[in-house]
Parts: sequence; C-alpha cells; structure tokens
Amino acid sequence: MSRSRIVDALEKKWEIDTRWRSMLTMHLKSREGIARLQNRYLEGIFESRRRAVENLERLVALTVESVKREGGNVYVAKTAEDARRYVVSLAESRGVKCVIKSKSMTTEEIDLNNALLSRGIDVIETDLGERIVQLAGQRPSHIIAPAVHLSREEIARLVNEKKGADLPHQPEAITRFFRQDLWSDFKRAEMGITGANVVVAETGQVVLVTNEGNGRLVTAMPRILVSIAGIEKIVETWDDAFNVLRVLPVSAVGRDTTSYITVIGPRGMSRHVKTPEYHMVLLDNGRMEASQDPWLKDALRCIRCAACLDICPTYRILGGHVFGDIYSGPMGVPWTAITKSLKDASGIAKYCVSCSLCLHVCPVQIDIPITISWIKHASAGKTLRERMLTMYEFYAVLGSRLPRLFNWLQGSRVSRRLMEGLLGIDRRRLMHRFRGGNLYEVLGEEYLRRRDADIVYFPDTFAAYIDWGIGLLVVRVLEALGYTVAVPRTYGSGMPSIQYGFLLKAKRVAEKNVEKLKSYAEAGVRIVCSEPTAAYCLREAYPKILNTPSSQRVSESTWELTNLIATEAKSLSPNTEQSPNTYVFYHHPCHSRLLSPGRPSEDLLKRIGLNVATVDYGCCGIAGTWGMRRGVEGFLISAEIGRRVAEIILGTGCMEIATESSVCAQQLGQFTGLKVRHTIRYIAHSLGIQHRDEGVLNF
Amino acid sequence: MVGREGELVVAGVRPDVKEFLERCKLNGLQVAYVRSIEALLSVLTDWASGWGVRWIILGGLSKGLSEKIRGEFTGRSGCKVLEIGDAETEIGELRTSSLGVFRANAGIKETGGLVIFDNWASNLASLIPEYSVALLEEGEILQDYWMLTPVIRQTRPGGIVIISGPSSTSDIELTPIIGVHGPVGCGCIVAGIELDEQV
Repeated sequence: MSRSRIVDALEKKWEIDTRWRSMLTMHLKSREGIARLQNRYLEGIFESRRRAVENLERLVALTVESVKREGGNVYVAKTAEDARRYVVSLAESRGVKCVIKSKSMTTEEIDLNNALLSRGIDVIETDLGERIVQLAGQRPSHIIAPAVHLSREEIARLVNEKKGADLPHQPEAITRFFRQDLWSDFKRAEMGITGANVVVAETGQVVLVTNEGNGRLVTAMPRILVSIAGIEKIVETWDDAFNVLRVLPVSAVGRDTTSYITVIGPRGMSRHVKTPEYHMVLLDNGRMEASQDPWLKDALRCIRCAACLDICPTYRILGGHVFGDIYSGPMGVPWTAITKSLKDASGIAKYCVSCSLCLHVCPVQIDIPITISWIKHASAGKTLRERMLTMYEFYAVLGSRLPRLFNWLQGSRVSRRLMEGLLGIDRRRLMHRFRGGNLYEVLGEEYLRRRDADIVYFPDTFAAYIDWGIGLLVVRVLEALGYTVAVPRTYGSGMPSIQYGFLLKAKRVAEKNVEKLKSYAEAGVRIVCSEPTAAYCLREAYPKILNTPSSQRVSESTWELTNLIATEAKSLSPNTEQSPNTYVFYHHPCHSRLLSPGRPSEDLLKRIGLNVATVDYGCCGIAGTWGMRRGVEGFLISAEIGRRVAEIILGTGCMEIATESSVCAQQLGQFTGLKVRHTIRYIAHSLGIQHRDEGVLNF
Repeated sequence: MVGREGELVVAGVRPDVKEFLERCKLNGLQVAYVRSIEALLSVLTDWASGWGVRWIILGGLSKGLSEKIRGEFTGRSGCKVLEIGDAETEIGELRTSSLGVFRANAGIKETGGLVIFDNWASNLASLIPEYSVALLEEGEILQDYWMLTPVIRQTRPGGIVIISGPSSTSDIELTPIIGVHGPVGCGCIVAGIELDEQV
C-alpha cells in the first residue's frame, strides 16, 4: 500500500466529494433498476456467463470459424504483446495515419495507444470521457465513467489549453465542442478500433453498448475496422447475448437500455458501400489459464457494469488511480491477477476492506471478496500488524478477564499511543468498553450442553466476550418468542483472518466452528447470529474456504437473528409504552445486505411502532478491524467515509440509530454523535423484557 | 388521426403499439401513430419545422415512400431533400440543421428500441444528421430482444443497430447532456399502414 499515493488522494477533497456523490448516485440508480428487473433476466445472465466461462475454449474456436465464414479476419492473441503487434503491423501495412477508437478497456489492457503513437500513427479516443483523460495524459479512473475524477472547471481548462479553445466550464459547451472537433477526426481516420461488450460465437459478431454514438461512427466511417475483445466476452448464442444486453445497462446506470446497441462483424454497416476490411482480435492474456483456476475463473463472468466500483467504500474515497491498475476497484483486483500477476494484484488488493458489498451488487454473482482474500493469501506482503489483528479474539478474551485494565488502557492517551505503535490501532478510534466476564459463564452449563434446542446461538467475539449483555438479550428475546436456545462454546468467526488473507488460519477457525455446529445443523436445528459478519462467515465464507458437506450443511442452517424473527415472529406488535415519536435511523450492515433479502430489521422496527428512516449509502466505512488501523492504513480513509455517512444520517433528522453490527455501531457513534443501539434492544423492549437503556454497555 | 408529441390520443391503437410508443417517449423520443400517408407526412413536416431543419436526408426507404416525402418537402422554403447513397460525399456537410428519415425494421416493446438490420443507408440517416425520425409499421413491433433471435438466424444480417434514444452522455460530473456524436433529437412514427407499398 503506497502511503504517499493515499495521502495525495486524501488531500483532494473536491475529488473525493465529487466521486462520492457520483458513485452514490450511480449505485442508487443501479439498485432501483435491478429491483425493477425481472428475476428471470438475472438468472439468464448468470447462466449465460457461467456457461461461457465453462466452454471458453470451444467458444473461441466457434467464433474463429464464424468470423472466417463471414469473410472476416480473426486473430487469437495469446498475449498483450501479440495483440499490439498484430494491430500495429496491420495499421502500418495499410498506410494508416489516423486511428479513431471507441471506448475499450481491452485496448487499455494491451496499451495499444502508446504502441500506435510510437509508430507515428495518430490515435484519437472518441468517447467523451476517454478523450478528456487522453488529453489529460491520464488513464480512466472508472471503467464506465473514465473522467469522473475531473471537475468541469478542470476539463474546460484542459480543453482550452490543449485545443486552443475558449470554453466556459459548462458541460453543454464542452460537449458541443467535442461534437465538432471529433467530427473531423471521424472523417479523416482510415482505421476504427472498437472494444466489445459481447462477442456472439454463433454469428461471429461483436456487440457494442454505447450512448454517445461514437461507437457507431467508429464502425461506420473508416475503411478498416478492428474489434479487440477479451475472449471472456464470447457467448455462444444470440439468446445469451440478449441476456447480457438486458442486464448490463440496468446494473451499470439503472437504465433498461442504452441509446445504442451496435452489432458489427465482417459484413457491417459502413458508409462505404463496399464491405470494409474487418479484423477481430480475440485476446487471451491469461484468461484461458484463469478459466482453469478455481479462485479466478468466476471473475471471467464479469460484464464490466462497474456496480462493484460504485458501491465500494474505499474506491469512493481513493478512486481508480489509487485503487486500481488498468481495471479499477474491486473487480480490478482479480482482473489484475488474470491479466498481469498475483504480485500486481496484491498491490491493490490491500484496498479491499472485505465489506462484501461488491458481491451483493454483482449481477453475475462473482464472489469478489473471497477471491481477493485468496489473492492476499497467495501473495507475499502481509504485515506483522495484520497478523496481529487476526488475534482479535485473543485480545477480547483477555479483555473480558481484565476489563478494568483494558478499559483503562483504551482510555489512556499514553497507552493509546503505545497501541498505535505496537498494534497499529489508531488512537483516534473510539473503542467499545469491556463488560467483564463472558456470555458462556453468564448462561452456564445448561445452555452450553443443551441438546433439545431448536435454536443454536452463535454469538461471535463481541457478544461473547466484549459485551455479553447483547448476547444475553438475544437469548432472552428468543426464549420469549418460544424458542429453546443452546449456546455451545464456539470460536470467533475468524473474519479478520479472511479479511487480511490469512486463509490457513481462517480455515482452522472455520473447521473448529463447523465441528461444533455440524451436529445441530444435521439435526435440523437453526444456527442464529446476532452479528451479521458472523452470519456471513458461516453462510458464505466457510463453505468456500472448507468446501466440505458439513460446512455446506452449517451454511444452510444459518440465519441472521432479525431475519429469523421477522420471518417467524408474526405476533410482534407495537409496544404502547414505546414512544411512537422515536425517530430511528436504521443502518443496514454490509454483510446483512448480502444474507437477508429485503429489509427484515427495518420491517421489524416499523412493526414494533418505531418511525424508521434509512438510506442506501452502502458501507459506513469501518469494515471490522480495518477502520481501526492507524492513519492511512485504515482510520483516515474510514473517517472520510464515516463523515459523509454521518452527514446523510444526520440529514434525516433522526434521534438515534439502530443496527446489528458492533463495529458499525463504533463508527456511527463516533461520527454522528448519536446513540447507536442493537436492533434486538428495541425488540426486547417491545416484548417487555428490558428497557432499552438497561443492561447493555456499548450499543 | 394523428398522435403528436406528448399526446398519444388515437383511439383504437393496439395496446402493444401504445406501450411501445410510451416506452419510446420515456427514452426521450417524440412519437406519433398514423393511419395514412398524408398523416405521416404531416407529422414529419411538423417536426421538421419545429426543429428548424433545412436538409432532409432519406435512408433505407422504399422508392415510393421516398418520393412521397421528397414531394412533400420539395418546394418548402429552405428545405432540401437528399438520399443517402447518391450523396455519400456530402454526408460530412449535413451534420447541422438536418433531419434523417429512415426505415426501422423492428421495434422492441420492452425497451423502446428501434432496430435496423443490415441497411447502411438507414444506419447513416439515423446517425449523422442533427435529428432523426424512424418509420415503422405497427406489425413490426416485437415483445423483447429475444424475438430477434430467429430473425437474426434466418436473415443473418451483417450489422444491426438498436436505437433507444438520442445520443447522450453523462461523462462530465454525471451531468446529462443530449447530443454528443449522434442526433440531438429523435422521433418515431408508427404507421398502421404498409409503408413499403406506397407508390
């Protein structure tokens, strides 16, 4: 992790504000669009992409055959260098002086522009955002909004300087300028180069999804046309292609369609009555090898919608020039591993905080977070401090035995400086206080050994060791709702090990927990978690790390607490003593979004009579122990996110905050100054079990 | 019998046609439904006048339909009619104050898309002028993309374009701007008559 690059990025406040607003807007539009979309389309695209990756070799051969049959030229480039050489040599042999390009990340991947420029061939990007970053001498910072990091003032200044114009900083004027300026390039260019959103093997055609119309002009004006596509873009049939075309614009920008879908091939629709010369370059560059790799092959399903960038908390702050290589944001990590190397990927993997929201929004269900954990695991460069953070449970157990000492240490300025130096825990981070003792001791043997239970409670580290008040309340609420609860002694979920890429350690923890829980799961007893991250580990991460029938069985039996109550406790009703004017903001923890469809907690809070507000801004920015890490390693980035989230929450005028994650409570409490409570406390209160301010130390 | 922009009031329009036109409107297109060639020409001249165009560029239309449109516009002050194919060299000069009128081969109801199959003249008429209008028969409206699959397999078009709105961008601070490289304004006229049979 380059400290100076992060420091530079954090200094650009305007850029962060713009990116934050833009990503939030795009994310909200995307989610609205996906919510409108029929499930069959999402099922369709998943199946189409899955089949394409499974049959990659056959589909490459089929595409080659189809393109040749239609009279086109096709070249399968093993490496980026091969692809570059083919295109440069083609341009030189045809006497090309000017090339126009439509937007293509694949040509960025092979660094085609520089290769052409070095041979004296002019290269003009025609997508507005791409043209702007080209003039700026930069690379795209976002895969579908390349110039999102630049302000209108910066863009106007740039165009005036580079093109001798005198434009005001109005997007309309700048756009109008490029419409005229690029038209002369469209007319003079001899060669057009496109990327591909989809390649259809059955007819050997390339599909481009665009809005500006530059893609259409690039394919219609020059006499030579070259399409460069990664082989993973190939689908077998037109039905498969339509599955992608129906979902891609929705997931990208929330629109059912873009202005233009353009299909080109050897017999395209050029302005030249005579068929233009057509070449298709199919780029491997590590893709075929990745299709055989159990950890990387799922990333080949990616349709480049950028939904994972828009939701990613660190991308929103740092942007694609820091959190990215050629491909930026979460999907950029596995894609850097595929097209470059694990070492290159590990350099940007550090910016992933394992919130898992990228998996939540991915329309083709790529488990980016676990893939990134594997990349961290497989590459060198993990730090001692990261290793120490995986001992989170050890510190919690110790703190539960020595609460006064630990609470004093956490409150003392001197010891916080020491903790910052030794453990890397930022001294500015507010910490939870230790209650003393643990949940297992409080509940006693009866709960530890109970075999006739219909619910097993998995408390995780916080409710077991830091503040057992929450754990006890969970048990009391479940009992009040008629369940018989067992609380066998288990280990912490192991999330820090997963987060920092210590997968062997995570595997050991997972094995132990699965061993403890499997007999319950096999007997049909449900496993309930009050901490969303614990539920995420049991449900999503363990089966992928262990890949055993027992871990699968435990996964299938795991429930998030509020989802279980919302689903089964139909009798919950408003508590008349609870002030109906209590205006609560509900913060939806990242891992909870992934696990429980809909909004069970929010619905529950409404059912018990609370006035509830919520905003889908994504991650609050703490992400477990990551947001506790000192300075640019965590806290400073976390604070940038936290302040912006707090502004949104306080803007609703709410009086307090409900959530289920203990670390989200830390972050939200610190940056909003409001009281944050676990959702179970409101439910307990409505059941008359406890006043919501009693018995729980932290939240 | 003419539905104009924002007032789809024609009685007896098939529900699927109406849905398609509503969808096109949502995409930012002007829309109309007509049941006679006279009504079609009337809508075209109204729109051309509203947009202030001086050039009418025809692409991919049948000879009969082209002649009807040419006849309607010829003689109107300042409006000249050209046909793509006999004026290739002039394409570059027709970016402004121009209206492209082209024949779409199909409409996609679900997304409001206008489909051009393998017709380079329609492609250019829908792309280069400042404004463009698609002409479509009501029987050519399909439910969704997937209904194109058998047509593609049967006709094997070399190129396809699906147009669902004017050229647009949000590349500068996500500010939506209409009219980047393609038309700044688009329209769609659905005809309840056979367009290619006009003589």
